[in-house]
Amino acid sequence: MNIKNTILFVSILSSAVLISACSKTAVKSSLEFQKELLAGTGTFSNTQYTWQLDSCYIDGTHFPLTTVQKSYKKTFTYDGRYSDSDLNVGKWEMETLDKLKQTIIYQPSNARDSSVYDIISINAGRLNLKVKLSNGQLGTYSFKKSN
Amino acid sequence: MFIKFQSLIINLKPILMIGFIFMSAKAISQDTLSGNYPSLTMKSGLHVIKNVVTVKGDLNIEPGAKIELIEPGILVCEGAVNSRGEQNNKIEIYGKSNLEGVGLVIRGIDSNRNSKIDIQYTTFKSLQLPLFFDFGWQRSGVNISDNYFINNIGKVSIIQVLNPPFNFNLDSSYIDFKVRNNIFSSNNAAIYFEDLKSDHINFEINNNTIVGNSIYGFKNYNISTNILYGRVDQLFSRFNPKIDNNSFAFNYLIDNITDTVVHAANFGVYGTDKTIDFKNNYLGSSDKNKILKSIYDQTLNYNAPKVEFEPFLIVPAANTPSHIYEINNVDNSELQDTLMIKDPLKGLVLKANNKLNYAKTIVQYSYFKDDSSLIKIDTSVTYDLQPDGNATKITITKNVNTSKKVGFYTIRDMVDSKGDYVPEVRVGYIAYLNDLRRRKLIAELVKDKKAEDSVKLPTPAAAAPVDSIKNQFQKIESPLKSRLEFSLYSGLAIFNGTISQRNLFGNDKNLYNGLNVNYTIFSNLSASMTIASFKLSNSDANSNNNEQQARGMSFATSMLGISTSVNYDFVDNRLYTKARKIRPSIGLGLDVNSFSPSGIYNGVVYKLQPLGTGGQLVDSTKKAYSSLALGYFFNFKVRYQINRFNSVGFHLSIHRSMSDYLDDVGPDLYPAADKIMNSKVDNKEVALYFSNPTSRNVLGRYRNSPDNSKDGYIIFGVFYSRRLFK
Repeated sequence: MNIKNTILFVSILSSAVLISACSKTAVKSSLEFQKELLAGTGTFSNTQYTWQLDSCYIDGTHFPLTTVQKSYKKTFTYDGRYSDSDLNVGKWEMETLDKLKQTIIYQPSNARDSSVYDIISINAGRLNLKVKLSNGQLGTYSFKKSN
Repeated sequence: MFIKFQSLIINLKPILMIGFIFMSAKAISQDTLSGNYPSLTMKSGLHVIKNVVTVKGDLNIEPGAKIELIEPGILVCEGAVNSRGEQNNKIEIYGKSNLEGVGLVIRGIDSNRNSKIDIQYTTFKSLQLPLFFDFGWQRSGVNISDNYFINNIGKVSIIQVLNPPFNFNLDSSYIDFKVRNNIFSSNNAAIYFEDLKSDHINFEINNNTIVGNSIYGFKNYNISTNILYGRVDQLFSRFNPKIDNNSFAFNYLIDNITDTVVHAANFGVYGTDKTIDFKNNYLGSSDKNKILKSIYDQTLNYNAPKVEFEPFLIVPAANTPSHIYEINNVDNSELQDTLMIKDPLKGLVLKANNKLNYAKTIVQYSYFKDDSSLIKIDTSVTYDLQPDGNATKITITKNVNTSKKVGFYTIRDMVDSKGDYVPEVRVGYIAYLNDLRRRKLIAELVKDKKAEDSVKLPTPAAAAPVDSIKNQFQKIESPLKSRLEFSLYSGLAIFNGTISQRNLFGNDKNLYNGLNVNYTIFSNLSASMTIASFKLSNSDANSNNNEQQARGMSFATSMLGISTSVNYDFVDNRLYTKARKIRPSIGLGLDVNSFSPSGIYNGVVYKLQPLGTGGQLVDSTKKAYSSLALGYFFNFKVRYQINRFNSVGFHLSIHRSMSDYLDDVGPDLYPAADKIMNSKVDNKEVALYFSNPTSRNVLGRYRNSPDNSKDGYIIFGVFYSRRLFK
């Protein structure tokens, strides 16, 4: 094998090895990323996030919270389970970026009560939700992460 | 298993039987001779001689007999010799490969005054001294005709004829000594007659083909370094030798020391006579000046007779055994025998004294594999034939040796119209031998150098001489540009720091590319500078440590760096030799790297340094880390030197950075979320996420826990280097 062939062979072989060995970054979708912000990734010690009620507005007016109300917490688990500090359990779903569906399952009747929140914003520290109340008013809730 | 073996034996039974019969037949037909014989007849079949075998009376060798002489095998004949083969059933007397026997010795005076030496259609091959007429021999006549003397390895003589013991004044009898129609080819020695002119031997040397022989001697051309030589004294007046119609071509003197061709060497003569008749022979050329160079006579030595070679034959006679006597270029121009062949030839014109049959001819092209090694590549090339009378044009149709190394062509396996042997010819062999010599010298130099190296440190005193640095790093007297070598590096970079795991290959691997300039300072010391571009990345998700998994950090950074290093080369970097093609080196160096770690937040890539993810920007008195980092490294390289200018190899380097922020994670406390949200950072949400991606309760803990690793990286891969200047 002459020099040119040797160099060509080594170049092709090493290029193939290098390219195949290089790590590839898989970018998560926005929806996937938002779910992880809400409930964790599922890796060790990162399986659920608890969000604590911090403030509330009714029809745009600040609604002062009592100490008991401020201790209300929602816990979202990465696998879709839901619980809160009122001892409700159920499941959560996020099919689009701006909707969070929360279903409470009552035991032992297995009766279900679903409500759908509009997600105003979510980041690593705060979750802002909006929901139309049964009396027709618009409730806006702000949660902070409480881990 | 046993059944399988049994069935195998049954299947092979016929083959084994046939094999056994053949072996038995061979063992029966083989005749090993030893000791003395009053007379001996050797019939068709194999006869082996391993020692001295003396035949006191007649020796008869019948057609088809094959006599293998194994060192020190020799056949001494003290009586008549009748070795009369047939044109299509020749006798073969040959030496065993690598254990070549001597040959036939004609000795003594036969009591039977009429006994003769008659050798016809006999092949003498691979022997040390095929035919030796020892001093004091005498027979009534000698006829050596239609024989082949080919590939004999001895450097003394092919045929050596010493004088018989005639009484100078009283004895009027004489010996007719005829050497006719023989082929002498590819031998390593001369044909020697003690007295070519004699009162008692009448030499007739006619119609022989004497081509392609090498005569070993020294660079000083003398009488004995010719394919045919002898003495011509005035003392004798009765029989002048008749040497005519012979063809001499491609016979060369080879220097014993260097194994290179000195020049053509056809005929040498000495003695007190004035002249010797050497007319009507073909002497390898039609140019008188060229012929003169192949004859040693009065022209070179005033005391020697003059060789009268004119008129000489322009082409060999048709009745000499068929052979190629001239090789020309495709355009029929003269092809110099000293031609150096680096580019494959387009073709050749082969001129023979008779029509030849090229049906089974092989045209072999042999050339060196590279610039300096002794490795030779033999390739059979394809060709087209265009006969034109006794000449044949060979057009080579297959191109080889694109690397343009010195080579030569061998054309062999031709036969004449009767199917008889035709000697092979070579083109470019003289230049090839010269290059071979050059390569051998280099190999010997390297061997000597190795021997020196092995005895360099025999005693403690020698091991640590005062000027040991000088001995180890010899100054190089060569221009600056010839000391430079440029390299392209490629490989993989693996981050090894806070965000990494212990199993090196479990981490992310990224492409590394670099451009390197190496400068040879001393014989074993060089300095180099590398500019490299590569990426580092990793994720805690790759880790098998739970704490790191829980931390959930990841990063990627582009690196642009300049490195300088000093390398110790284990092999003298001035030498390029076949023996030391693999050359390791180690080195230490410094890095300057520009880096900028980044992370992905909701599908968007953010640079992490401006975010102050370690809380650096929460406190206005602090500032973000520098994106320029110093570092140091250790490297190891093994290069394979392809030739003087080109090499390839593997490299490995272990780098340690003086910055702990290559992965953005340094020895900072996790910042409080509200402090980040209240800071002046542009993307607070993003900064909050990257400061603690898993939102763990980590207040009071350091971000680089649990392992507090220092950042670094490992690079390995391949490189190609080239010296651009001589």
